[in-house]
Amino acid sequence: MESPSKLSSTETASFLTQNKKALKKERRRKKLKDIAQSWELYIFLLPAFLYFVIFHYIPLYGLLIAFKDYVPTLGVWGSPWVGFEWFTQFFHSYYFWDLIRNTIEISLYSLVVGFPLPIILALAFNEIKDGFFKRGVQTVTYAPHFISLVVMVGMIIAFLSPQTGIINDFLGLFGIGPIAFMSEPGWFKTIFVFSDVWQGMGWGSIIYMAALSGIDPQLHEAATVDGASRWQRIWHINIPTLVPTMVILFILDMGGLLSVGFQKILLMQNDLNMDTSDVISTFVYRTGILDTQYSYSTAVGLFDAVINAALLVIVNQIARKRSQTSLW
Amino acid sequence: MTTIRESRNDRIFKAFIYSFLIVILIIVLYPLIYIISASISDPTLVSSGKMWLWPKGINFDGYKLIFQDDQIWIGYLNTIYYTVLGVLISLAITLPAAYALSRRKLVGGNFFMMMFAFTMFFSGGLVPTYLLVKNLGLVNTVGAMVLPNAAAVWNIIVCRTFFQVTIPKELEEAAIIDGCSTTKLFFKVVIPLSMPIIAVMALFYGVGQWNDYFNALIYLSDKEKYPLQMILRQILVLQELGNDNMATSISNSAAEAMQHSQSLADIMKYAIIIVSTLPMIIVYPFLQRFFVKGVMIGSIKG
Amino acid sequence: MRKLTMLLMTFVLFSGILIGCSSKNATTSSTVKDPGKNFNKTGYPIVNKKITLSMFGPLAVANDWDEREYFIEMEKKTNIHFDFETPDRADADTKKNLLLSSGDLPDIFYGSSFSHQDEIKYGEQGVIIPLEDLIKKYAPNIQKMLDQEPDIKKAITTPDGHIYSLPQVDEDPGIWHLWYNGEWLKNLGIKELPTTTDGLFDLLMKFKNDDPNKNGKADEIPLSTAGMDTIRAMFLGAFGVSNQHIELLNNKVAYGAIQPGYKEYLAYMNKLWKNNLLDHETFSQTDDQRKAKGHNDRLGLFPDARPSFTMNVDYDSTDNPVMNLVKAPGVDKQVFELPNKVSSGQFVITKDNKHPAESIRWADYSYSDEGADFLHNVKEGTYWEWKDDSKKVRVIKDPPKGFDDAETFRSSISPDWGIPVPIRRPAQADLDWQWDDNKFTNWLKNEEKQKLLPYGVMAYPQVYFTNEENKTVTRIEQDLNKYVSQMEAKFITGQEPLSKWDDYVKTIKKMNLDELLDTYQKAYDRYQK
Repeated sequence: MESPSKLSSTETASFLTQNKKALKKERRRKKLKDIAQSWELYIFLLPAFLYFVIFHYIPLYGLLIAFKDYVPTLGVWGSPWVGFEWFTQFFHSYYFWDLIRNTIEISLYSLVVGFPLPIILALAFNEIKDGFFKRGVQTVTYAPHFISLVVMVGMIIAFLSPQTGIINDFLGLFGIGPIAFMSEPGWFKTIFVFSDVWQGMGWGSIIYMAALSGIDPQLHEAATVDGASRWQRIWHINIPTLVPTMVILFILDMGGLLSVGFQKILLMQNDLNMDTSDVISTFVYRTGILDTQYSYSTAVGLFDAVINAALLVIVNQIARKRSQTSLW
Repeated sequence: MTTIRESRNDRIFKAFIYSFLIVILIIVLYPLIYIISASISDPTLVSSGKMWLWPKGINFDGYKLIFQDDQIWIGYLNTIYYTVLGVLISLAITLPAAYALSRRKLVGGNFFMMMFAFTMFFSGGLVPTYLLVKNLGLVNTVGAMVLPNAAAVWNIIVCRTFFQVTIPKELEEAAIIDGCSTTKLFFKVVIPLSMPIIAVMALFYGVGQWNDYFNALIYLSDKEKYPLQMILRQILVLQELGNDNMATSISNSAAEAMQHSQSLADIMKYAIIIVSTLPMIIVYPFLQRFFVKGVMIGSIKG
Repeated sequence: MRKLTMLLMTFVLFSGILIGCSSKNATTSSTVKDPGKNFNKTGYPIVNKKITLSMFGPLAVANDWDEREYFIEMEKKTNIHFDFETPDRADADTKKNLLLSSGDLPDIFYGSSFSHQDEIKYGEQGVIIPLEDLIKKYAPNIQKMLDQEPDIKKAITTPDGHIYSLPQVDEDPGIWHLWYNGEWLKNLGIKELPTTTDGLFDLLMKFKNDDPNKNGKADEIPLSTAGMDTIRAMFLGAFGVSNQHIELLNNKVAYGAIQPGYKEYLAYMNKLWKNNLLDHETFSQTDDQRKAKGHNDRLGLFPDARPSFTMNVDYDSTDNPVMNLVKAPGVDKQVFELPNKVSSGQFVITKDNKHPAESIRWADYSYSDEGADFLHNVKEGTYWEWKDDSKKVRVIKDPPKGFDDAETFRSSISPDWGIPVPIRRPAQADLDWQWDDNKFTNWLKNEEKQKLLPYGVMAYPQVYFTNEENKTVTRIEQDLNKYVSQMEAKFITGQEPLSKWDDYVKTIKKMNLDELLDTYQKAYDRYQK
């Protein structure tokens, strides 16, 4: 605190710039040294780099058709340009705001309900001893991941049927209902999100289980000796271990905010719940696959992707400032 | 650890955890039992809601119909081949890349990360990708099944995070001082320490490959090369074509055809789930072994 | 790598343009290439030395096409061998579009349902070739059909005068029906089916209240469907409206969903809904759930291809009457939109096909009565046989081991099962032979003749839009169709009261309805010329 105050302001400045320059030089030298030292790491990266360039970057020219009126035989290059026509058409579409609202609502709802559950499940698994029960429950919770969407939705409709569904039979015991779950627009998002959670929580917990298994058991032993309760150990040892994974998955989830898979929604959709069930991806599906308007659907997809990518960058920026973990 | 007496609170806590897991178990188990029961029940009873837990009108027609098809076995073998090969390739790309990206001293790591992440959002679409695969000469080869989706950004990121947390910089530095090259360090130390994440990656890639039919649909034309999912789809052809196509002016013979395949689909759809996913479910407990705690100590101390 | 792709892309691009030019030249009849010495212009085989072509088609059942007797026999007859590519039919469209847009073409697309727009698009680009001159030269059966029935010719000729595809023609097209539960009618002592909307309402009330299935429980559902599409025509027609979307009123294009009759229809359906006569799961159930209700004897009136698919009755049972078209008070005459007998786009030849003349001759066979019969039933002795030497009556044989029924067996020998095919199917009545046990079909034809056909009106024909018109139509219909079917559901279930009708009509007009109707009108006028 004292020494700088003795120097004049100009001197301070020159000292600082000199220092900065030196630092910069130093840093650059270190960088070069690092690059030289870690050449093996670049070789490690090479296969992935080649893979992404070949299979993802080369076909990227296909995105151009969002700005063209794509004619298959003319190819991507030969089709005429139309500029932002498709985008304007989408923005002026009668249902534009409904689509955006539904997409974001479903995404956020999924995030709020679906994000914590796999973590809780993994923490709970971690607390019980290895054995038949643990393996059994784990395998059972993991199994629903494999049920095809068609059957899944068929079961949802069957379970929720107001006439023969088991859920309404059950509610009937308490004098409630019957509720026509599938045709009430208000129920759609809840059904969609909770069936997703049901199907995916066991699968989602796997990644956290792997992270938890990286914890050094000595830490737990030491804590136990110090008299820490189970709860304290979870709070102070297990959860901090999971934080980096949680942050990363959260960032990735935010990057998917504007994309909700279309297949399941399409199967659950009907004229009565359309108000709350129609999302961007189902719209893209209808225009792209059913009407084969390739250019239009690519434009809508591109719009989606730009927003998603922007969200990812923003959330990543915040994460970098607030915690030590971030994508870059 | 077990010698230390558990406190009262701990026991309450444990009871709480067990009851939580039991509730989850019941919630998840019910629909699973439903599927198993449905696969051996009379489909009419299933869709009318009369079968709700235990099988009714027991028969094994669904399974019979599936296994009547010799193609099933060829499909199984193909799928196993694609899955094993695909997983190996995926791991060979993912693990080294994720490790490299997890090292802070990698200059330009952020650039590569962004470059990879970019592909999560932007893709050229089906036709350019098809043309590429075609020009690479991969159409109708095993290459088309395992290469186009060989690496997933998501998996690389998750894997990188794991390496960041579990492989400390100190370990690396110590190894270098010992005169150990990065490559040697990776194979001798990092890989053995990372069995849990490798198991997870193998599982993620494996399941993806196992369930994939889209690549087969797009790139394969030779039936002998079809994976299981493709064969099952062919058996089930009409399942997805429901009411829309039934509407109004459709010729009677087509309607009858639909009715016929519809009822076949009804008989088989639950059995197909079981036939196609059983191997993946059986494999899981084996992979679970890698999640056991304490892998760390042994390898560091030893 | 990228350069290589660019190079290839340009190559593909240029080859496309070049072919485009040459095919335009090919449209003047003089330039149809002479097929060469191997080709026989009449008689069989079509070629003396075997040739091989590639064919794409959707697979409806698991049996491969190269194992099907039809193709094996056709190869013997014509000396043309095919290499097949047959993705299952749920995926066929994806694959078809991929092949077309990547230029990886088979010689022939069979039963692949090219839309009019596909034909114009790929025809203009020269990916698929015009057939009219080939037909004139080599396809006498097809030519005869076009001469006899100008409507068919109109329905497959693009605005610039080309024919790019061969159609499926059903001279006696099937009609979609609703069926009454005959057992219930008997139990209630109903002799005469209702002829008015009010009468129908009363009958449905009886279905609900009088326990017609005699199980002592009020579990009857008078009218059940999965979505309105399968029952709309029969109810909308009662109010004098023939189509929810585009219909023809006095030879003028009109929009069904804003007609006064449509409002009455919504009010009526809402009345059925409020009285629990229309299944409250109408908009959410799947069709197999509806069928299951039928198998449990809970349905009184329902849509299906045959009553036996929904009820536990014999396949050939004629006890369940076809629903007749009722009439609403104040309506001059109820209407029924006649089904289309032409489905175009089922046989397409691509620019890569080196044997177009051979291909068209191959397809021509199934436009003769004999060839159509052969395509559907294949040869005597496999699926069917003559009852006696007079050769007037055919019997369907018992299926070989491993097949549940004869129809399943037929699906393994003919491609004409579950997909549309290039064929001209004659009306059974016009043939000189009959099926042995034909009770159901004869009965059904008679039912249709009495109950539906008298009210038949022309549907808006299958016109060809220009590219510009098509863009307008898809742009507008995208939102409009969704809005109309959504509002239909809301009005029927009462989520939206009918007092909002005027707002509803206003919204539809705001969605550029006039532009849409103009476009349809223009295309229709062109078609009429």
